[in-house]
Amino acid sequence: MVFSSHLFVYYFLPAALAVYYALPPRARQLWLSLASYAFYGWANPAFMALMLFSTAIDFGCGRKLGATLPAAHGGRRFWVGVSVVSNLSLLGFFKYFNFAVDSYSALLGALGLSALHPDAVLRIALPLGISFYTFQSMSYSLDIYRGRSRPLESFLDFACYVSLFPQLVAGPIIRYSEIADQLRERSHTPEKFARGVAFFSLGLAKKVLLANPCGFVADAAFDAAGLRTLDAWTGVLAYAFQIYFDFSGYSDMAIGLGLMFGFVFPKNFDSPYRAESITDFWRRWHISLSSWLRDYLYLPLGGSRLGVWRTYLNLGIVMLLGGLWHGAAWNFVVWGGWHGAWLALERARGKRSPYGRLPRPARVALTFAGVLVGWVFFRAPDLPAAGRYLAAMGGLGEAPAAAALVGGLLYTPYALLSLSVAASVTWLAPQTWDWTRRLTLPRAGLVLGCLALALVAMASQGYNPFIYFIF
Amino acid sequence: MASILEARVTQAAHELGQTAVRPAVAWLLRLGFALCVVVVPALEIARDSKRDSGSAWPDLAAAPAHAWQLTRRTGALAGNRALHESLIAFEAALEERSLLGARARPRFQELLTRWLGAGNEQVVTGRRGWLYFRPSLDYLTGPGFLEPGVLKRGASAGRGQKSRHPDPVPALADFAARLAERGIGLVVVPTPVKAALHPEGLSKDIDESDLPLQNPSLASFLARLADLEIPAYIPDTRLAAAKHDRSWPQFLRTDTHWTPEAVENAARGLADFVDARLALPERRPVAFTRRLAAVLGRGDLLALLGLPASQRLYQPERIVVQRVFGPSGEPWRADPGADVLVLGDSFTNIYSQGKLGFGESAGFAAQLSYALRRPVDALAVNAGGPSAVRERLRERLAAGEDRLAGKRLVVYQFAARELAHGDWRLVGLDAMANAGATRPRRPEDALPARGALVWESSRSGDWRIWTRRLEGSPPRQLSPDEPGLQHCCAHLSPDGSRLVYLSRSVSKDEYPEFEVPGELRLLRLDGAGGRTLTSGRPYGWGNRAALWRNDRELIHVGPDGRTRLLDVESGASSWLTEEPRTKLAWLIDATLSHAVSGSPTFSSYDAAKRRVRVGRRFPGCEPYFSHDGRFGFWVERGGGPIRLINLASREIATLLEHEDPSIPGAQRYLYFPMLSRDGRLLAFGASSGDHDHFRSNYDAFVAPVDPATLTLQGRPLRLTAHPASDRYPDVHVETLDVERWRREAPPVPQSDPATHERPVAAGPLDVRAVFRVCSRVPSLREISPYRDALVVCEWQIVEAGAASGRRLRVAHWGLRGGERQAITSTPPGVTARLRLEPLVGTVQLDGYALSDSLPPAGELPLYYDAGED
Repeated sequence: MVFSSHLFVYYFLPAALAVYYALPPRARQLWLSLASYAFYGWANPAFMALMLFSTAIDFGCGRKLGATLPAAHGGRRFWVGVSVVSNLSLLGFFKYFNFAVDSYSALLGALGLSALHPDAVLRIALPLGISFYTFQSMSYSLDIYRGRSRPLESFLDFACYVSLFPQLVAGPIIRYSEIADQLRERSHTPEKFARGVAFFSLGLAKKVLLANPCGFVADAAFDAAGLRTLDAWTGVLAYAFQIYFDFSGYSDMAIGLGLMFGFVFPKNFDSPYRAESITDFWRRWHISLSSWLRDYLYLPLGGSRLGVWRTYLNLGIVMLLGGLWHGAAWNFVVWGGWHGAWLALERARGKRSPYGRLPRPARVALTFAGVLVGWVFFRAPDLPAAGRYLAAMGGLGEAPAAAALVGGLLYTPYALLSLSVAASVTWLAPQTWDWTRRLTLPRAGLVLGCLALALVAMASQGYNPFIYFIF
Repeated sequence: MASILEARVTQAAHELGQTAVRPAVAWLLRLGFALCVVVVPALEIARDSKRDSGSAWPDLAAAPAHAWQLTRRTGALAGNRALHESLIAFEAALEERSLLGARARPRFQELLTRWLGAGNEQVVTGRRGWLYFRPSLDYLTGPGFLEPGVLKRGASAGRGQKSRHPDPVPALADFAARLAERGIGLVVVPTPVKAALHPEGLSKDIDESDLPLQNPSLASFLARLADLEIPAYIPDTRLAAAKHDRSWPQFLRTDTHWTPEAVENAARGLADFVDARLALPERRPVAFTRRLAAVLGRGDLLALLGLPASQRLYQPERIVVQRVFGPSGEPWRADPGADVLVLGDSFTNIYSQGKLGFGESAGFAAQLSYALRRPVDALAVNAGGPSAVRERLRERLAAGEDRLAGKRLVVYQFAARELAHGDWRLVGLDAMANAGATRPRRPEDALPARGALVWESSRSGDWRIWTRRLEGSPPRQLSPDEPGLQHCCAHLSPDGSRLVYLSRSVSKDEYPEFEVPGELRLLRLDGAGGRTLTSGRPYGWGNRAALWRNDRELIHVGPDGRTRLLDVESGASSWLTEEPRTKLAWLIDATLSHAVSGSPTFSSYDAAKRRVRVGRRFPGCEPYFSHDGRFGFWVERGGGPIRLINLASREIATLLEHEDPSIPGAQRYLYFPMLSRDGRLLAFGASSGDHDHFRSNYDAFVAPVDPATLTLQGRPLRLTAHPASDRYPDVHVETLDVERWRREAPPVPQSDPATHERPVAAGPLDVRAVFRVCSRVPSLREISPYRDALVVCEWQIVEAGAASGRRLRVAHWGLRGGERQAITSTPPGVTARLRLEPLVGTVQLDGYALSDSLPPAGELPLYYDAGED
């Protein structure tokens, strides 16, 4: 079930809200947990057991950590270790088993040894949102271990935190310490709900009215065997808009839904394509992930405290693993490596880009171009395809006669209008967070107009992927 | 880090604490939001609460129980999978039935298409009114379908996608091998997609000389087929040349399919290809004719675009098709007796399947038949990908309908886009061999009956009387060799111990009436005791030499043309008619109440006055009577049907249809019907289409019938197999196990379920039944670009009588025109009256997607709900 679906908007959400507000406050947590499990189980009922297992492990570890005296380092390390190892094991098995088998098989093949036949080994289905909720769940025991949070007394509260449907399957990654107080007590005000409506409506409009049409264009380009240069650039531009509006739209909807249920989630996007450097980009893109990696991986590795080269190494490790977190394939690793290399280069220049002296529009444009190159690795089905796509962008690829057909898909008036509006919103429009700070009557009208138009478009579209659902 | 974290949380809390919104505006937002998300479901729930609304909610409600049953039976994984599929199906149905979607989608799409040139997920709009199917474009613009990476991605299931077998070559190799085991050749015909020949709607940059456009892997695909010695005919180049030379459009502008001209051209090319490379058996050319017919049709892509009915952006397409007609002027139709079988998809069905909106009898198979000048059989399924038609073929085999019997060549047509997107599953064709009950019979095999068959055959060079035992024995010649004499018209005595036949001095290829000398002879079935009953110039038109009144008395036509009753023991005789006839003498039935000449008049006979009152003449020939005098039967026209008349009520019924699909194999051209004395077995002859009584390859068949109603109780089975003609059979039954017969050969229609032990095993049925469960309704995406699909549901008969409690499965329309039908929301327990016909052999339903997600239950017969039509 995705947010931009008939089932969610017209049945799940009204029912969840209606029952939630009809119940006394004590019962709301239970209802929210049940609704979240139903939401999650809709994707595959069996995955509910997996999430429950992960939740139980971390809740147990948290209780043990809370019960162990701070002086007992060994015991605390053991329980935090259990939590980390179990979460990473789940993630590793379900997300990376196939990748490991395929890579091992490819390696054997490259060495001239008999490769494993894909049908002869176990193929693992990727549980929805496992990358998100294992990170969230881990943050709970890590925060307790570090003394930043107290363990929850109620398993129900913790289950509600892990399974909270607004942000369960595609983030933002909410750390336990960010939401611990709200789990115990939160306010429900008309202003909060109204702003939630605004966030949700604008997020849905981003998703349905911008991301989907751009995705249609991007698919036409990335699914083609050969492309002309302009078509290749148009395709990756469309993908950049698709992934941004898809993901930031989802985050807006998540924040909006959170507000409707009384929760406050932090910002996840900060106009990333307006970044002037890659370092700046990572301060603005998927903030909840980049800060999680910084706080739970980069800093524990030593951060920048252990010398220049170690800093570069740490950056590289974090970005490579960050790439791998997005997808179990080598092209995601290369994508992470590409960004890691840029970050290292800018770190060497004092967190300034090589083109830092250029005027701001040029800095933004060059950073965006660098991001576009990265998106090629992110979107292409494999590394050879990414190589071919980059060659086409550079005017080096061969375009068969059929490649001319792609133009017929890319340059329809509808596609061009969608790309133009997407570009305008990206670089000219205020952020949702800022724009909804003051909800006047005209703005309310615009919000509801966007909602209505998005709902009509949603009912008319068959194409409705959510990119981050696969991570 | 803590400060950064706190900053984020604090910032968020601070931001939200500062939301500036007046209470009235806050209320407006909440109210507007509530209206947006509540009105639509409220209206939908109101609609779905009505009975027969097609709601998907009952499916959802039943899903957990079904999943739990599966879990208990086959494990948690199976239960989870079933539940998961039910949830997906429910959500798809909810979206397809969206009220807002139904209202807004056409208008919104019209706005997008008119002003922004936008198509939708599946339809790409081009210039000058061209519409394209997106998967077809992806096939052309996408990577080679045989590239390793593409194959690997195709084989692994993505989220929301099913894993598939992406490599077409193993499936084709397997199919070719299985056909070869039966001595059948295969030619593969990938049909080009529209943009391969008409890219001009999308790009002006493609030169005509670059046409046809092809997927990068097509050449290596053909090379792999060549290595496997599987012939492939690619019509692309021929069609591109036709487009270039004659400026004919090769595809319809608003439809996925090729034009009638392209179909004819491709069929001609394929016929040349077959003639040049594949040796088909010589046979007399069939003089098909063609006539032009104008058709106005609405393209499937236009329907898929979903514009309002009132739209004027795209017009219906006016085309001219060349309809093919048989030698007798009847519209062409697939001939199960042909030695060429076309398996295909909608490219085969277009112009043949009327429901596609572009006419009939003018499709690919018809044009191929015309070009080859021979009958062609066809089986085509519109939706379901390239494996669907092979699956359908297998289903038919498993049901006892051997569409491969008598075939020498299978033409396997599929849209070329399926090479990149299709699921190329291996589909076994050995269903008959594996299912012991329905393995292919050999004619000499034993029947579940005891008794004897006699017939006249030219297998020895002269016409002689032959016999075999029903319980299994090789055929043996019964009448003696007599140079210059031909034997015919064998009729078994009621006790089956002896027979009469004619021996005449006649050429081998004529049916004289009185003109030639001969004898009416009596012979024991063991070949002994032969003697002459009458001599002179006995009457013997067709099989009308004699009719046994009882074990002693014989009714026959005397040399003077009067009908006579003869005591074969004493030789005493008496005249039954007084008036001599020189032509078409009267043969009177055993009860002395009716009479027929060579024409089926079934006139009343007055024994007291020894006079026949001539009745109405029905068209046809070969009239005869059931022994009890209640029924008459005859062949209405060449090849059937075999009609039945109740002599008391004069009601007409059909015993076997012309080319009746219940007859296994290719021999369905019916003649020479005869009924056993007890009315339990029908014997007849059938050829594979040739009429000539003297030289055609007729073989003898028998089928069980209900003696009370003379309706079939089981499929006919062939008892002789010889290149010569085996004609005019007569049969005697000692014992007959109808149940075993049905198991060995699946059932055929019968009219009165209440009178039979297993009423659900045959049809047509008219029953009251309780609805139990239905298969998952496929989503429109699964059957795209089509909008009709059948779903298999299970019912339980609640009629009083022996049939009560029996379960049966029925194919209902689940989707028609994209709309879910009432059956899809029928809750378990609902009782309804159903008019059912067996699904197998219902050729008009062959082309539709059939969803059967119910647990396998091979013992349950499959019907379709004829009452829905």
